[in-house]
Amino acid sequence: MISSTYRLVQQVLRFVGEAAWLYAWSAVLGYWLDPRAGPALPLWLLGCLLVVGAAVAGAVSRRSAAAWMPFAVSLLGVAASVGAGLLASTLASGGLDFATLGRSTAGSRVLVASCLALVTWWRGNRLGTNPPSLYEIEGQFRFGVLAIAGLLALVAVLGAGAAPEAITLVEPALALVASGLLGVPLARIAEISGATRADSHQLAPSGPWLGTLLGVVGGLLLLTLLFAGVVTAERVGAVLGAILGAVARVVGAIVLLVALPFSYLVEWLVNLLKSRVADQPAEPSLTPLPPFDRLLSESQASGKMPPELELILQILLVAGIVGVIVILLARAFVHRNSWKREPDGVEELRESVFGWEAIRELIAWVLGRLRRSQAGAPALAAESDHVEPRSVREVYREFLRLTARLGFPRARVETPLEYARRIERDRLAYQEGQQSPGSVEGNAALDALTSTYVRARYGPPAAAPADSGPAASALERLRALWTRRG
Amino acid sequence: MFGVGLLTLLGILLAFAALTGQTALFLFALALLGAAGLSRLWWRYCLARVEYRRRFSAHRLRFGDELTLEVEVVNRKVLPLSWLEVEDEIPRALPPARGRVFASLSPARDVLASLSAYRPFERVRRRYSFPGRARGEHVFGPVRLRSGDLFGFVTREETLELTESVVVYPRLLALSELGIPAREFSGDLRARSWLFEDPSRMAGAREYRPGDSLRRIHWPATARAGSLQSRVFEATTDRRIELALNLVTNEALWWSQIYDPDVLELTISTAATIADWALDAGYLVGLASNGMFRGNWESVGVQAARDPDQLERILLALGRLRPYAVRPFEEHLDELSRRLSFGTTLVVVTAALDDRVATAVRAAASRGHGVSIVYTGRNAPGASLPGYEVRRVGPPDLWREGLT
Repeated sequence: MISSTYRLVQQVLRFVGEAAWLYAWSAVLGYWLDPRAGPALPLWLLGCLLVVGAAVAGAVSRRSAAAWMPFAVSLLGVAASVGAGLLASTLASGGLDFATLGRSTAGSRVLVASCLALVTWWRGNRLGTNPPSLYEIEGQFRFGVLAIAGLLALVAVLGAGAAPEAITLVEPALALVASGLLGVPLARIAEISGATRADSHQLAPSGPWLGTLLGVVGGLLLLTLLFAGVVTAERVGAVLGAILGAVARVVGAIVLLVALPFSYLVEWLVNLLKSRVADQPAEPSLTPLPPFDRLLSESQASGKMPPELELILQILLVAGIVGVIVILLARAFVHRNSWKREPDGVEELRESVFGWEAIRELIAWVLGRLRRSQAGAPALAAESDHVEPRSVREVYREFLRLTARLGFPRARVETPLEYARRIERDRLAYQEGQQSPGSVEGNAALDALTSTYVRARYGPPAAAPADSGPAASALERLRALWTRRG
Repeated sequence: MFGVGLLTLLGILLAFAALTGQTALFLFALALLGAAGLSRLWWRYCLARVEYRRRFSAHRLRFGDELTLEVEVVNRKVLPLSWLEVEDEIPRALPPARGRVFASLSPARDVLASLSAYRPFERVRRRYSFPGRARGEHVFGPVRLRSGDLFGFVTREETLELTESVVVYPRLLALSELGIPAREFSGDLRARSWLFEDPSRMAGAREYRPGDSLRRIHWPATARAGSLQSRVFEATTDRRIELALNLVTNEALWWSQIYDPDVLELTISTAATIADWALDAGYLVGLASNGMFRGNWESVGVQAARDPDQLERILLALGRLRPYAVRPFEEHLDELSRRLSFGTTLVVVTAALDDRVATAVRAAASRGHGVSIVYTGRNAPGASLPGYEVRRVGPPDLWREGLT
């Protein structure tokens, strides 16, 4: 079954996706009502409404609720929405005058914020009641895409003056894309690993898979930012600054809270050790560090990092990098070519097959593609990676690729006829017993292809087959017999 | 997810954003189009240069031995696979000790599934063990490979018609476990004709008769008796046993596909056990059954022989037997007794013994063959054979005794 952590990550991504498009709408609606007052509903209030809506609806749906319960949830939603609208407007304007509420902009703001809060509550209810199935998550992503695309299109139609600062919309749009691109594969994996099959084990999101996914999604978003010609350096800087600024603040806090006290402790221990060895009162050889509060106030006042802190950070960084490399190398060495027991109880061995042969094949493949494109060869068929060969030797090479994929690669010392005999003997063509028509047809096609190739490759030019048609059709027969694509 | 409609919409939005200079819309559409492109790339190449191999520790194994299957999947390309599901069809009768197994849509078949992520140029080998607790010719394959794009929007699958078979021999028991004394057959096997004698098997001595060769004279007995005594040999010309195996477990419906699994296995195990014992005792042993192999409608037979490989040949034939008969046993027995060499002992192993089979047994005996009958049926035999000893083996689940 799917683990609770897995479900939690899925739920977090769903919440992020919903909050992203709702916040974009909130920002634009708030801007339209009052460009200086900020979003109609602040992000934290949106988040609270989503979480509370999901929790209430989830709790109600889990218990055998009475018929009036959904009605009560709806009433609660309306009340919460009105409350959230009033609260948001109060926070935005610094106070509300209820006497003039109906005639002022604040009244409109309350109304818009309440409506948006109601939509948020409804989406929260959906999150709480619908399990994170692939269908549900895909639907949610599609809905979010349409909602944000519609909003952005509307903003574009209304003109530059109708939109808040670009960064306000870029962040939620990219957050929605990221949450969707991460959430859908998690749901797909959960579906494939058989969450509905009681007798199966779950596919844990393995390191390579997770790394690839995060790398590709992150890379895609970064490339999008860089690639977009319309994006100026300031805008990119703003986006990166928003992301990196938060990260830098967290790292800074960790350094101040952990690294500095740790460095004091180390210094004290060194001095203590020296005093014991020399049997005399401790004479600190290091320049004593200034008190922590002075360091902090200095750094805040000057805006520069104290040199001591910089040194400690550099040491920590280098030590961290070295440590990670050592751990990775040790791990790689320990796990090299060792069988491990997987969660389904089966022994598994993973190893790399990358080598000179792979590099050579890769180069040959790239060159082949280039040659074909230069020769103006027709584009590859969309439904198949099979290339229409042009000569008997190419057909045979295609056949070798096919058999290698099926686990019967040709040995270097094998002649084509020996190879064909081995394939027949090893029952590659064995389908429904040795007497089956499939097997007979397979052997006939194999013999036809091999003999045509032998004549073309080793026979005198006069005996060489005129065209590759029979060989190609034999290959197609073999392909149809040995592989089926869905 | 990224259908034609959505892609068209995104394309229009991208163009519109580029024209109007809308940064957010442009980035949003570009990111989604980039994801769609990556999704397409993965969908197209996910199963390209993916190799699948299957290796068995043996293709023939004794009952109870463990079969090891090593499955090797290689992703021989730069593109990593976020997930690859491999589903190998396996016989339901031979489940693995560990691994994900679920029911296949095909009858009596299961699917052995594995699901994993693959790095670029990575080979993954998985080792399964199958306790050989089910006699038969077990077919593995075809294999279904299924993968998709990184984001899980699309999937692609391919079926490799890669089938291989493994034969598990029938269980060998001791004759005593079957309730047959080891000397049972030697009593029955004596032919009723004295035309030929076996000089290796002396039965006793008698008075010398004119014409007896000097080599026949029993000198110790002559010394004791004070008159010339000649050796008397047993009449068996060749110690040859032909196992006549009846695959029918239901007398009335020999042609149907209804059979009693326990009775069938006991019958085959009994035949294997007798063959093992007989070869060990130095007999020439052959096998003739009205059963069939997979994909072959000929009845199954093994020529009588005594060489060291004969037991393997017989066990292989018995292991490959399907649970269906290709013709009535009485017909089979009748034809068999006609072509066997004179004096061959027929050991009939059957779970169905009705009047027609009894008639065929009498006919075989009248042709000069010694006949011994081993009955493995669940109920009492439907016909009696006065003058013939019918040895009953059972109960039907005897063959699985001691299996955990």
